[in-house]
Amino acid sequence: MKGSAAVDEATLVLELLDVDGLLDELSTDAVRQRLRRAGFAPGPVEPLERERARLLDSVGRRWSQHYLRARQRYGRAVVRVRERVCVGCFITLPTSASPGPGEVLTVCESCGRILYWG
Amino acid sequence: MSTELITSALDTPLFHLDLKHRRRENALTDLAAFAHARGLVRDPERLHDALLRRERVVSFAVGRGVAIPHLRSLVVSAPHVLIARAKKGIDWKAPGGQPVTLVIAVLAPHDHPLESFLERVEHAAEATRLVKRRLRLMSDDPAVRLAAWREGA
Repeated sequence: MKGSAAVDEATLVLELLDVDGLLDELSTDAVRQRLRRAGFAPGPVEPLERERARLLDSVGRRWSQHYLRARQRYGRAVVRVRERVCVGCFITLPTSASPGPGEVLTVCESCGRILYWG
Repeated sequence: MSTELITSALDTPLFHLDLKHRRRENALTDLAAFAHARGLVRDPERLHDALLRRERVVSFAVGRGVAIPHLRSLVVSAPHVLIARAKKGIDWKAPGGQPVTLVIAVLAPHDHPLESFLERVEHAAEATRLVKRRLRLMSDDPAVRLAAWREGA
């Protein structure tokens, strides 16, 4: 990912992660029941599903493939980098794995998860 | 804006006093900026957008003049609770149309355990059920506010 296009695409990937997180949570009956008991009124998740489809269409093919593959394999497709360690597989990342200027996402060469360097 | 930060125990909320805005979007912007200024959130704009996205499915307003924005997201660095009062009231499109005067935001990183996150949300809801306790959560006295939050924890 290079320049502002990289930033835009990274934003889409991170939005996709947020939407999937919400869908995972709010599609679960037990969670919805607990929220209702706490006084909330969870509505239908269809708007989130539509947004997910839109984001998958908008994000570049390369990133959507990485994302979907990692999500299918691990459930959570994007993880943070903490002190040069992939929080997904806990491998120490080589210096060469650092993102370029203005970039916040790379792919972990060990586990295939998308790494967030923000 | 008058603010106060208390950081002693693991589950101590940050009290963010006196939200000045009357619109929900602006109040959420303020809360996100407050959390960002304390290193609890990486990207306040994304947090704001993510909160609004969640609210499209689950309204944060629970009635009684209370809103409980809650979210797990990658942009949140550490689990935390922000408590804010809005003396003028925020138009939150709440059930019954009552303006929101007390906001308790429960935020956590996206990989934070769901169970722990939901427990905090439930604690926030429980803490705002009774008028007396809500008033104590909005007290000028930090010790009173903290005691009101910790009850039943």
